[in-house]
Amino acid sequence: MNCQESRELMSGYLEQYLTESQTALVTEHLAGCAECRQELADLDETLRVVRGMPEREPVFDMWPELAAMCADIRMELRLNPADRVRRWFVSFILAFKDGWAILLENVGFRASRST
Amino acid sequence: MSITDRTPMTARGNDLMPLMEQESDAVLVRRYLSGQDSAFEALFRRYQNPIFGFVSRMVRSEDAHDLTQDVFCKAMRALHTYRGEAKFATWLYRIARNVCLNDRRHKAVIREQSLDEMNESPGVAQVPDENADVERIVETHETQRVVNDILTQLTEEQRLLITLRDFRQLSYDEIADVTGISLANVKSKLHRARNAFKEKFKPHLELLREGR
Repeated sequence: MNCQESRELMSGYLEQYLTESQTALVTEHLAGCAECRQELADLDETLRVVRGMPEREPVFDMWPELAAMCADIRMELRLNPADRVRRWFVSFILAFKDGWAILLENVGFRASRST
Repeated sequence: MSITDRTPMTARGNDLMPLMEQESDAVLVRRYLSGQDSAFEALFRRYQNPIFGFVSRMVRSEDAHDLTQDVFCKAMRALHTYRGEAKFATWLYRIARNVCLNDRRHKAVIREQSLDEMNESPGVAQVPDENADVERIVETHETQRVVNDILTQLTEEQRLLITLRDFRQLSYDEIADVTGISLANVKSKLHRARNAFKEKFKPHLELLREGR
């Protein structure tokens, strides 16, 4: 086994998912290659640092806001198909109207800048 | 609404929560689908931290709360399609992955964000280690900054794989399920992602070693 092949297997070697024969080949290579031993140590230590990072947690309770959204979703899901289409159509028209308003405002702004 | 106006983490749950906390995911899903709305809150309480932890590594910190809520809204809409073939957590991570990737594609600015933005945003709390001394806190904070910076320099897929495996500790099978990548490819791609990360992390690793 050469250095390139040994390095390809280093994650598996550390996580012990290689076959017995692959593990034996890597172990044999490492015994005679200081550079690969250093690579393995670097990878091992880097992974320890990453895994040791503090957990990130939300700073406020998200449920009250989410509960309101969920209530809307539940209501929507319980509507019959025709009402659902009507509701979707109204939302689409409102979004379309907003889009046009933004576009026209933008065009007006550019026109006023160019004059 | 600012983050400080919102309900603190200590005020949470309702009277049924302690009972529902004992139930399995599958039972809670069945309860919710049969009309017991509070079962969804129990699922949310169970998975909000893992999903938030995942989302906050994938997107800008200030977006993490909104996108976590988005994940659960999408989950609620799709819950009737959950067949129980995959673990509920894996199914939820799959939704979270899609939400994050869509958000990143829409904004397409994640790589340009500054390190400070990611670490000093009030939107994310790092769980403190009570036994840590000041020097260690500073070192951890700096390491956290470097780790996040390097993550933003990786490809979307590399970042996803490292987040799922090394931050969230999912199994390789679960990662294959969440990402839709074959098991063999998950292993090789994750190894390449770790190598890319390790190369960028080397200078900081040397500093950490010198400091010991």
